Amino acid sequence: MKKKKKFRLWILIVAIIVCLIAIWPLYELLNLSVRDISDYSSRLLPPETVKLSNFKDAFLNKQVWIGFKNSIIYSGLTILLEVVLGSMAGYGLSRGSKRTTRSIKSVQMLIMMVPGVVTLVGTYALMTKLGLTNSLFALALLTAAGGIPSCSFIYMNFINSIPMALDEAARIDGANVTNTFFRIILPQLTPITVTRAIMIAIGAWNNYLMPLYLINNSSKQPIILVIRSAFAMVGGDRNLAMACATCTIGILPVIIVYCILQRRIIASQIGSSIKG
Amino acid sequence: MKKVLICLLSVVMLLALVGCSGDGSSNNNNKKPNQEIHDNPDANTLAGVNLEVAVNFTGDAQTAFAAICSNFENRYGATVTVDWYGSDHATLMTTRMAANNMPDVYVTAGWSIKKYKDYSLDLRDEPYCKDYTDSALGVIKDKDGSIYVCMVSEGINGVVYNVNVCKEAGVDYLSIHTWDDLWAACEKIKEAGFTPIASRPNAGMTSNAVGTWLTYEGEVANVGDKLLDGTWNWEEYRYVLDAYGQAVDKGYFFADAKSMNEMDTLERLASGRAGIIIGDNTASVQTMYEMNSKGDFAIGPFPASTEEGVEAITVGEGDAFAISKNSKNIDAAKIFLRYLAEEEVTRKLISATGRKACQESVLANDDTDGTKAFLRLEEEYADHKMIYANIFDREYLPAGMFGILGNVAGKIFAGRSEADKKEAISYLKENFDRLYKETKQQ
Repeated sequence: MKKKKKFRLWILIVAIIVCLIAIWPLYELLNLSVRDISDYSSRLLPPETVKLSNFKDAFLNKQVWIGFKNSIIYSGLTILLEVVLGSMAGYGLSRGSKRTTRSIKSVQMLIMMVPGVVTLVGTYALMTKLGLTNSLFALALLTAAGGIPSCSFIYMNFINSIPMALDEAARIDGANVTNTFFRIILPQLTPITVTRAIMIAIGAWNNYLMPLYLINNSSKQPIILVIRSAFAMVGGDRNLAMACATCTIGILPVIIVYCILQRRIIASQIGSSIKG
Repeated sequence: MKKVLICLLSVVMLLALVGCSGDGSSNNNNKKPNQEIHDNPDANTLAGVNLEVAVNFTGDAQTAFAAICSNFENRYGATVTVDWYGSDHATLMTTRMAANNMPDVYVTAGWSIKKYKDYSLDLRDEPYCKDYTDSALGVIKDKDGSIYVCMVSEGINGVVYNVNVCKEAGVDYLSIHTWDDLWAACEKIKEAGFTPIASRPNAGMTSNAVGTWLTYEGEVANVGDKLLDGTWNWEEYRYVLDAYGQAVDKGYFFADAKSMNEMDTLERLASGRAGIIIGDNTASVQTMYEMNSKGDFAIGPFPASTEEGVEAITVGEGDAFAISKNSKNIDAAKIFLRYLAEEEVTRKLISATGRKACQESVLANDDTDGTKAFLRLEEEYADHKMIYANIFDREYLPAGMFGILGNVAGKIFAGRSEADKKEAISYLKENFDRLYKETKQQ
């Protein structure tokens, strides 16, 4: 019994340290966002005076709202493309012939192992040649294309746990493959679909690299590029407080979504690793 | 279920339409490739042309350049789409080079010859090229006489002094000739209760400042030729490691130097907490005057490594713009660069960047703090054994070494044992060999 208590204390200490490390950047961000422009004191110390007007100024910046709008459109499009296509592909892989499925799975695994940055030059060249720059739909298409292999893989694992008898029963009732998927299988996948949608949204919201390359029109920039501009506009330092306030506002939706839905996200992540 | 599917697809299409819809004003693709344009076009001559311009400006320079582009649009009727690449400029441009998708106009950020010449148009016949100062031509003129950029300013690098702190510590900064003189001055500043050096570990110290150890006549080493042919073994870089290592050990830098950023450095010198910054430029002098208008700041050359050696100011490309060879708007881009080279426009940009003008006509009437600092330098150091040289890494090293040398500065602050020095030299050699080979292959 004593041993168990000691072990728990040790875990608690490690957990606290890990939490502190995770919270540290957020603390610095919040600390800097409420400072006066001339406050050069240590970032670890509280600000000399708390200046909330930085947030007001950031909120009044039209570009922040444009960024929010674009990020919502971009995230929404990515979710739709990735979830619809990924789930359908996952169903096909789950119910398809074993040999074909195995080959496709191998290719998928291969794609999942290649970091996006490795194919950056080729991807960028292709997108520009096709005229797919400054378009949120094109950006979503690209992001979804990168995410579909893992998405369909996860869906496949979930669908594997749904008995084939359901498909057969639907077929006897006269349903074709499309009807069977959308009417019978998809409703069973609601938990993973919701979780996947949240993860895709967070990923798209925070995606920096491809928007940086493909979106240079300020009216099309997602919030992540607005945050970048905020830091650039002030030289990164001179009005750091204002840039940090913009950054705080920009990441707030993601943090809120994660806090509200964290149980579902964690449960599904555990589920996806068990199933299949 | 069909209804759900139809709704879902409708939403996708609706969002796609919103996502793909053009902006109209700043994303106009009705280009007129290489249309005939006169040298002095009237208003709206460039109507329908959309110029893409990639720049690395941030802060005040970004604001100034945005206004400059807006004026250009109003004057000529063209639209200018600016890619504000900021600190990512080099990476993004490298990718665009590899993808053969260069913007119409781009900032070369110091590399107009070594990195961008194969992609850039030769501009030697443009009118502004006849107005450049000799120091500017020394940096941007290729061996065959080609000039690939319209340069509106140049970067002047050296050692920056807080004159009031130096005076209080009994240091005459004009009497500093060698690095030993500089360390002696640091000792005096320290004794007077100040931190001698406000620099943080960066490539300004380990790259920009090292020519006076390694590449000029009369210095402790002169290995420029070996660096250029790739045969140098970097062992002599130990001079640099030893000198800075001792300075760190003697407490000449701030205790938190490793975590300081650029503005911390400037603020500490501007506020009188320190006396010297090694490896900074006239733009920083201008910023410090903005922070403390009552201060007295001067820029001087990097000291010599021996009594017989020379003091050096390193000059680099400042704000320089090139035109892509493959641009569909070459004539419009040329007009844009001529516009940038106009005295009034140049003045607006350099007053924001703090860099020194590099056209004789602009320099004659320039009263920005950056240029004033340069003129003061010329006057105060007139009797010094001083040279103007190209920036060390741009002259002798392959692209990519600047960052490596910056990392070495961090290594000096992290550890100064013999093993640390050996590791730093091996790190330098390894990366130099790799980048040298890559550059040769290109």
